[in-house]
Amino acid sequence: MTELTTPAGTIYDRGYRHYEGPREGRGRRVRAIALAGVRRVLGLKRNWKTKVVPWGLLVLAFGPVLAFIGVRVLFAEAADEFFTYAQYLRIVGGLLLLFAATAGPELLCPDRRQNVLALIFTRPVTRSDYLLAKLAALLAVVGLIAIVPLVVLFLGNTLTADSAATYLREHLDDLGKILVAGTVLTVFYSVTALAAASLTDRRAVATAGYLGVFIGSSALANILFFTAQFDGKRWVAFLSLSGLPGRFVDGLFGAGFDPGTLADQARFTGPGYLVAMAVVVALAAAILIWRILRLRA
Amino acid sequence: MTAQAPADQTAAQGAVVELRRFSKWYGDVVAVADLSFELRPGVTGLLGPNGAGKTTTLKAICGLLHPSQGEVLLFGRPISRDPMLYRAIGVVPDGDRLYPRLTVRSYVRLHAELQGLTDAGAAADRAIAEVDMGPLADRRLKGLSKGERQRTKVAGAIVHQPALLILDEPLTGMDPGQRARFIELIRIIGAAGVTVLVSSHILGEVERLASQILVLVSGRLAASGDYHAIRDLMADQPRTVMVKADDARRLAAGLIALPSTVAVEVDGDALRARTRSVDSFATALPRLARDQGASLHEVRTTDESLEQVFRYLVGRR
Repeated sequence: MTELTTPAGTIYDRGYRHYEGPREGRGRRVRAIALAGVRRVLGLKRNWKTKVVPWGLLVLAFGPVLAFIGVRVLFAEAADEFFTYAQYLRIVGGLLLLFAATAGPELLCPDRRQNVLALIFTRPVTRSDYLLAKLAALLAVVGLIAIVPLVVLFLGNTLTADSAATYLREHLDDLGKILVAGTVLTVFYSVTALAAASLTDRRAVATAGYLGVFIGSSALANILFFTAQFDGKRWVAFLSLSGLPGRFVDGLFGAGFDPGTLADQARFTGPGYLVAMAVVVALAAAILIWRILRLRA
Repeated sequence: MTAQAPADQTAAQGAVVELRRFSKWYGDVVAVADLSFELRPGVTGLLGPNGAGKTTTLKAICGLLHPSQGEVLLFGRPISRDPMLYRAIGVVPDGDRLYPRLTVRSYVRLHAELQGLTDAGAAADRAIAEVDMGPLADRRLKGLSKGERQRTKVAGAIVHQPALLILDEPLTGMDPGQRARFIELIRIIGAAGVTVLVSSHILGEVERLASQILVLVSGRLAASGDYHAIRDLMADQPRTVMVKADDARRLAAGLIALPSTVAVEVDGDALRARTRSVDSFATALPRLARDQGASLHEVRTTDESLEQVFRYLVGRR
């Protein structure tokens, strides 16, 4: 340890030097925030209470798939395809809504609530880096529920079929549909949930508001469709935010809509609902970008 | 641009931070008006009472708000146009701005990663050691004392060894031992050629930290330069001394006779004396008390607070 003696006193040189080493680029910064977000959403390295909701939903998403594959392995003759990919995606759709409703606010709200934005934005992190990282984190965890269980189910069906090669050949298009549907649902729920979370710094308010809008819009669409009389009322089918993903999935897999329902009577097809979802995502993205760019640290 | 470019530029150009006629207003409220100064390597204290515009000034330097008028340059460039300047800056904002569930190590490491350091773990460990938080590195932030959280924030700010370090009220919540070690650290960092700007509303803190000070009052620069020189300029200002004694009224009669005493006010067993010389007052008081048979219970100056200094500076403007 070197001593620097001056007339005013003694200062011990503890080796403070400017950092002159290499630096990694934007990807590293985005990855750091995204990984911190994934850990936060999944409650990793946090107490058990923060794990209950995300891991409970993960168990609900993966549990039936793994149970089904187990039954197929143990009792091959007794088990057939007891649910289709479209049916499973509709179940997963409900879980995705709940997951996004809790994970989106968990990613964005505490940063404002705990006043850490000044710490983030006085590092070489731009608003767009921040937005990209948060979106990447939510896409990763929502995709974990939207895509992975279905892929596991497909692999399970393939490997437990009488002829794996035959099943794969005959159902390869299902794998493509799983990936398309899973990706569309992941983007839809992630962007809308983050947009909702960007409007408040309170997690509970964001979660309740998000669920309220989704469920309320569905109720409103049904009430308008079945009670009101006006020209072109079938278009209210697009008002139902919680109904859009399921109808798109049914259309994609050619499952058909349940008779007598709004979707059945509105007579729109899967691509129509896909366009509606794209419009919703575009609006949500605009809100999200506007809010993040205006964030004050 | 390389990481050391700003520091190199500093050496070439001198001023690390330069405010040119910086003003910031919110609607009709003027937070800072026509502020100009330069910062060079070493520790500078930014002093001012609440609402003086310290945080607004610091936020402008950090690029967290845009000037309504004027310019704020870091290393000769506006930070709003060059986010990579943050590679050369370390910032400790005021308040509890932390992720409470992170450990000290993971918090500092996150900041190392945000700075793009290749060996973030080693850099985090070094910064944690610098602020004497090594033994607590694996503790969660929410379980730490305020002083420990402050030191963790500082570790996050110096993890990339910046050329400019900005600290907003950094000593808040620290105990005397922690303060002493922290002040030593800041002095070392300043002596190493880093430009350090420390805001505070406590005069005594800044006196120990920085020789150069900037005093803000009502959004304007009231004084700047060497701390002691400014204090000497204020030597002719009467100071208030509060005394608690058995017989304050009789003591007051003796004190008013001192040539340096301007006024004495008695309130029960306490008196407040305004004196032009605290030194001569302190010398005369015990003798006077002994002569009058009075017991002194408490003697302290009441206007060492920055508010009084500012009031004086404002009065001179």
